[in-house]
Amino acid sequence: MRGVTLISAVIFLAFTIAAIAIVYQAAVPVINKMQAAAAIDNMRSNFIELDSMISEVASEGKGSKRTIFIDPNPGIFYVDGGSDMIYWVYETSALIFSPRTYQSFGNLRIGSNLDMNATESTFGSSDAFILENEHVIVYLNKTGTSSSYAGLRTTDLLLAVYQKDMQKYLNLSSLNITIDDNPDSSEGNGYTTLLESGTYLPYATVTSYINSTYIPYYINFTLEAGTDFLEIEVST
Amino acid sequence: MRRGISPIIATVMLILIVTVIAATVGPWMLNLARDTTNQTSTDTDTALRCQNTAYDFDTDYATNGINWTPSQSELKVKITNTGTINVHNFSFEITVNTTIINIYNLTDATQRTSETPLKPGQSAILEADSVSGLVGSTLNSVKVLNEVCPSLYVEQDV
Repeated sequence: MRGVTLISAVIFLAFTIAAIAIVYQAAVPVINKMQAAAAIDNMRSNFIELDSMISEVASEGKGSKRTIFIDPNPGIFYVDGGSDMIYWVYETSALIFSPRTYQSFGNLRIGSNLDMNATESTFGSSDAFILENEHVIVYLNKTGTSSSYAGLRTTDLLLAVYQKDMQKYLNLSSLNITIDDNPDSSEGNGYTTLLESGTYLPYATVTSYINSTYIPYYINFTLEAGTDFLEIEVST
Repeated sequence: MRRGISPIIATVMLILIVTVIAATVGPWMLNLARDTTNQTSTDTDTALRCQNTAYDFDTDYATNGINWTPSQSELKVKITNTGTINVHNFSFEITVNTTIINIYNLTDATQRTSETPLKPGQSAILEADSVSGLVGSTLNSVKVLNEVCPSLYVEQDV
């Protein structure tokens, strides 16, 4: 009967292991997602409280202070004195935010893929809008305003693209945009504008309005966080 | 004392029975486990998505966010995505003349699709399509539905 006992034990053990494996496989991803949601919700509450405390201290006299206890785990907590920002970075596969989006709650910004910077500066001798993410830096011509149009050709819009991974400027042929293959549509007067400037953005868009003799239209240049390509969208 | 079957035959029979049962039940159990796993994961994703999906009427627009022109039978609604998930494929469920409820799709020009969703923080004006049959009707309320989280909607009395 020893053999029977041994077989029974093996079968019992096999069923137990199989049951545990099935439960583990089903439960762990769900628990991870729920944990991620709870961690983000908890940190959102902490940041709202922190923001409130900072406002209170700023409104009070010299020497005023508060104490707050924040557990950054899971995730990494950063204090950036240079840009007066406190931020928390956490990676999860749970769909708590749509990719490359953010939502503002007062001074608190919460979102995903927030690694875009959009600024105004110069490129060579030209005023430029600079869109930068972890892979590329795109320089776009800054010219005219919505109240004061400047002469504009589509070939002059894109100034340069710097590929950060390869550490070199891309050798671009000129960008020429036309509507209905009509050459008159590639130039006119108009302006370019940066829709939102700043750091830690999910994407940044420079819009160019071209009032050509053929048709007035807009060109949107959008660089999204984490991508190494520029989206160009034309609309009337 | 009566004699039964020998221990060896009993053991062989036991093993055979267990093997047959395992072969029959095993695949069913694995399928059940796989289906349950997938369903649980899907349910969790849906719950998380719905927990973070939110939108509301932009009450600064027209009357409480609704622009209803009975003479032209034109219905426009402005909503703002107040959640953290992209929302798209909206439809209206409207109540007219106190009892009649109709569901209307949006015009192609104002509809938001999965390629052009209403992102968190963004606002958009949505216009109902084919409401010409409602000329002169009294609009009571508008409910804005979506496909991302069908159980979630916002409703505004007019």
